[in-house]
Amino acid sequence: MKYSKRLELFEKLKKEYAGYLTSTLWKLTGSTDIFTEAIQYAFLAIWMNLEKLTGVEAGAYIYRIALSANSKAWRTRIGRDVQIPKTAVFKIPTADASVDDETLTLVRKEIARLPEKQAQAVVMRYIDQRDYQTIADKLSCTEDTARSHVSKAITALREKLTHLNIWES
Amino acid sequence: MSEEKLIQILKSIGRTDVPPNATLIAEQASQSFTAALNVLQAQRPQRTRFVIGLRLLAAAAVILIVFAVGLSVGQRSTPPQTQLSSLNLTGYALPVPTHPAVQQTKGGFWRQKAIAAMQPRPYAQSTTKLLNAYKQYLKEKHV
Repeated sequence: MKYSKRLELFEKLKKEYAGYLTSTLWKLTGSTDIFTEAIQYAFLAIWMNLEKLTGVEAGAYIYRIALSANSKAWRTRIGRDVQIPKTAVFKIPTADASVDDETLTLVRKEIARLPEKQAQAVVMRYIDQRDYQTIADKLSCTEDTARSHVSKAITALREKLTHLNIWES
Repeated sequence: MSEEKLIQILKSIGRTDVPPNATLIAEQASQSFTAALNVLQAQRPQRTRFVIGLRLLAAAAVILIVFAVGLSVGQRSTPPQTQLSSLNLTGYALPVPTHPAVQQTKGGFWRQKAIAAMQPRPYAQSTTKLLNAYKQYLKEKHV
């Protein structure tokens, strides 16, 4: 593909998915630093994989790119300094006022550390509120497998958060 | 209880509103990325020309090197020496050039055979072989 064509396609995809990427990555990062890093990774991944984003499965691929970018940004951040700076975390308006910012940050961090399929499944199920059939379609698997991924992700998150004394087991 | 709470937290993350700052950051990141791509595109023709020039130069260098190597090898090598000059021809009759007309004369054929037998041969190690050949000629002539 010619460079000018690639550039044109990239601009088109950016316009189409910028809002979605911003929303998803903000929800998953909740921090300006990590969000900035994640959105840059996402744009870079879109540019690197333009050929795969021309088909009908572009939406699903963008979803994968967003979650991969999120994981990468969290990994970079965790690798750089283990503690998330509290100054970088915005006050997040949530429906449940009893959940503090620190817990939300830790849950986000643990989501980013889950295996790829499990992270995608749990994000689609509970953060994006998708049904299992949609999750199965996006992950190219059966509905039972999608349920299994979500279940495993929830178990893993519970174990990790219990280990971190977020709540009593 | 714990699982329900976890699901509640996940759902609350999902209901998070995107602040204007995030949209602004995304827009800035997008613009800077596009600007970087445009800069790359502007540099691209120059780089392509440079790469093509470099390839042509490399091809010319390879041809010149191969030519130089061939020339030097050709100058150092010597043509193969004939074995004839190194033989000891003392006591042997020199080859007599014959004319095709000789063959038509009486006994011309046998004379040629005899002369040929007396020619120095690389494989002839001793004079006895030549003597035997001459004896054989005499025998054949008188039969």
